[in-house]
Amino acid sequence: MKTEQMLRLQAYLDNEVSSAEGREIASWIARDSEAAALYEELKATKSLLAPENELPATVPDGRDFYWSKIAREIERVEREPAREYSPRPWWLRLLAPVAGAALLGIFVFTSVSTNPQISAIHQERTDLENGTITFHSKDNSMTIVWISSGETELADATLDEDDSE
Amino acid sequence: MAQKPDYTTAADPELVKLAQKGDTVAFEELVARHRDKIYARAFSMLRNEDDATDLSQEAWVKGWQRLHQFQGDASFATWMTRIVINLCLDQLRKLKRGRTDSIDQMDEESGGVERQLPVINPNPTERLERGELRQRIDRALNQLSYEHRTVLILHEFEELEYKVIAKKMNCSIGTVMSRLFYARRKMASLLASLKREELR
Repeated sequence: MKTEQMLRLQAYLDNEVSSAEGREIASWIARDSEAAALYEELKATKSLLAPENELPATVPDGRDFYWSKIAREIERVEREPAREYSPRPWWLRLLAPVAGAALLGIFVFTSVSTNPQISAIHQERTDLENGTITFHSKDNSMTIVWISSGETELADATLDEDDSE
Repeated sequence: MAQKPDYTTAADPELVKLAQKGDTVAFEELVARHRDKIYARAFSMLRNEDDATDLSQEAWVKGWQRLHQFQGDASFATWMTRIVINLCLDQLRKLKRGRTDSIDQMDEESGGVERQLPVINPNPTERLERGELRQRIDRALNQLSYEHRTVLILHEFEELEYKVIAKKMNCSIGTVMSRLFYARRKMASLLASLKREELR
């Protein structure tokens, strides 16, 4: 039997197939002894693993001791100021790198207009996506890298909605 | 003057309402009522008492912080169980990152020896005391890899659908089906071998 067929048998057992597919699988089980045997095994295992057959477990600590740690932690988190996340609009996020680029542009333009030869030995690169601007001057043996804050991206990454169901 | 509520006799929804207004005594009563259930779910997934205790306590703190989000669509215990399951899955993902794949996983990925196993019938009608049966199931669960145990727990004990498990475990529905199949066949084989051991 192919893996795909085995998984179809299981899906039928778990009621995860359409009614048409269910009828098809039921007739397959009726005429194929191998499929019927596997189906019976899966069914028996499923019935053994019923929720009421799960071994109950009890907290090893006493009620007060267990609660005291929770209470302390609640007190601690309550004392912390709430950190509300409010996303900045896209144009505000671009403002800082664009302003930086504009300033550098003015600087380069002023330098070039006072010394026409300088443009050949100066290089400037703006990467808005990473929020970095690089300015390199061979003449002055100088490199300036301007990095914008990555706070917004970090806040996005730390949000976890999956736990809040 | 408002009368003090009787916390021990109040129903869960009433205690939740009080706790949502900041009443920690009401919340303490909810913890006392459901702590074993929440701990048991953490223990069944992590298989370690200390980790299960710590994580269940963390779940209660998270529950308190998010109490305003609780709408009452499910019972409070179900809502808390979802929180502890998510925390366990996070914890298990962290642990998994730091270790190499188990033999069980390699078996599964290379086609799965369990797919070639002869069919076994664990016989659910066998005359076993409930306690004995539970012990046997627990011992068998302990021998599964965490991926297989988790998928089995979420499907059989929490009665979640394939697509919900896939979302929680961050994998495809096909992977859930494959892991569940492997886990069930392995359980059937383990339960049969445990029975043989006991008969010796």
